[in-house]
Amino acid sequence: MKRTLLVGCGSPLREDDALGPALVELAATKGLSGLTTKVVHQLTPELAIDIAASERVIFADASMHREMLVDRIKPDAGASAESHLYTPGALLALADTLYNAQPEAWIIAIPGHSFELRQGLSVVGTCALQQAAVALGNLLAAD
Amino acid sequence: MSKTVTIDPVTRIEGHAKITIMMNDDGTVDEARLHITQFRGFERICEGRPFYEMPSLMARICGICPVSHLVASAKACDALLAVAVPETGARLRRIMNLAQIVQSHSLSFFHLSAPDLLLGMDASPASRNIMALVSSHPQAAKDGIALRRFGQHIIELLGGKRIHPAWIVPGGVSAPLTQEHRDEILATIPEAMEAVQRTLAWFKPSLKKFREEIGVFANFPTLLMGLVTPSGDLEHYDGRLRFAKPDGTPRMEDVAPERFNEFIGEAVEDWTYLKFPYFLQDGYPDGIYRVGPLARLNMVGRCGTPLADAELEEYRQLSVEERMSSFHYHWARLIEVLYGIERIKEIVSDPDILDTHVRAHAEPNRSEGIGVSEAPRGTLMHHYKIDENGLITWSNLIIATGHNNLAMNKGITQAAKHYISGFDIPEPLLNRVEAVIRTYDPCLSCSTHAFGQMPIRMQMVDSKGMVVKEVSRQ
Repeated sequence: MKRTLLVGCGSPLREDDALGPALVELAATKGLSGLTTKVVHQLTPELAIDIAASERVIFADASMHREMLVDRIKPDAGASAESHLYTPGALLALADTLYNAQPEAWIIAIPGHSFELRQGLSVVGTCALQQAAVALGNLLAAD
Repeated sequence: MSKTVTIDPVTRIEGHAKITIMMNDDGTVDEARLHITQFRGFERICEGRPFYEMPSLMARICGICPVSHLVASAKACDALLAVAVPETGARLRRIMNLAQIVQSHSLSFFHLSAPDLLLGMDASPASRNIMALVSSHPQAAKDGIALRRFGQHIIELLGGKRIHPAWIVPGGVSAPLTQEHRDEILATIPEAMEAVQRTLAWFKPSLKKFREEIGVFANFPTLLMGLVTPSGDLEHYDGRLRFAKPDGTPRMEDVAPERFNEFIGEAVEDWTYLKFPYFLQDGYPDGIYRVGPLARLNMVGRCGTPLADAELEEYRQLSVEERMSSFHYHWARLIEVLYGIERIKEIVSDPDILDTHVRAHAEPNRSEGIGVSEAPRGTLMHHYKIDENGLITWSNLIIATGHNNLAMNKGITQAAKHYISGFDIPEPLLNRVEAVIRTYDPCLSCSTHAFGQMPIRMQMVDSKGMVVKEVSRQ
């Protein structure tokens, strides 16, 4: 398998916002060789170093949309970074410009249903997590 | 008719805020105000919770400086337990606090302020950001990332995760440092050291380009406040609380930090959620003081590590008047980054740091506890009261950004009066007013204990309250 970095983004204290980290947790239990995982609340600039060390990076995050999205993403040097918050595209641009690294990059946007101040996924979120796990498996198997 | 300018949102800060500039009829500036427009109320949220949950709860105030809240909160809980934290436990907490200061200062300097410093205050907003900086100054960007990673990696090694680690607990820390992690920390020191020294080497000569900004970026005498060692040197974890005059000499004898309430009052204004702490002896608003890296370096005797002391000596070639400019927060931040790396190396090099006795256990022995430490942005105070069951009945937090609130407002007024004349205001001048705020690196999520989006905006308003111009950047 390609050297792959899976980044799960979100807060475990906001229900389905934890879908990204939950997918990482699920993937980590599989013990896949070549898979490195990270759980973050936000995308911050130092992640560019980990991205640059990977052949493939997959960002997993909760989304407000109804459908799950699995999409290829590219570096976005025009992305705005007015605070400590970065987009996946901006991080890929950092890795490209600073470390000359262009890993294959994907985003899995997992539809969340409820984002209240509570631990644990909603019923809808739990179903979405299973779909996301299948999507992740398909991505990883596509080598 | 007088008018008002509003900058909304203020960008490249940690929080959501708005600047209003009130104009006189003749087009001169009357006053500028920084409005903090978010509210959270953490003090109320924690009422009724067991005291031992407080460090973890308080860390949720902020995703940038959770460690600072962990430290101050755990110290307040230590006071409730009335225990002495084992020496190694205290030193491990100190390492994490310093790692937090290194990563936070690096984010402020490289990611939020370096676009102004390296690309110019007059560059267009579209090209005055970190992504443009990456293309034009890749080494500076790499150094910023390396220093962020240095601090975050140490926090992760010690706490198990980078954000909201639950490792600092009442009575000490929950696990000792392993030899493997000690060696990993030591291995990262040289790269971090090179990065900050390379940064100081380009930053110091660049100051001559900013003479005008240095002159008007909140450049006025104020009191200074922060922790110092018993001998008056730089201190971030413990020590005595000092109130100092602008030249750094103590205004009064240093006091135990737990006595802060005897010297600090908190005023409230109806146009912002952020309170205005002030030095009680001078009253409100005359009791203005500053905290954070600039205040700390202006009032300590020395840093206590060789390279940082050499940099401090060079910094002190500035006159006392020059050192009152908040523009020099940037320089002070870099010296503290250097200090933090040196001090971490010193602490982890001591074999005793691997001692496994790192936590003291006790039941609550007091009903009131105060914890004070130095966060990246300044002195952080947590004050709790509990009932006989150990449940929180009352709490109050005074956050670094709050201490600087009076100075930030006076600072933007000074800059606005200098740069703004008439109602047609070019963006680069508004950027300079914003940049005054950025020198303080305010963390508005912390200081109002609020959550949500982070940006600010600027508005121009006439004497009748009508908005005549608005600049908004999301």
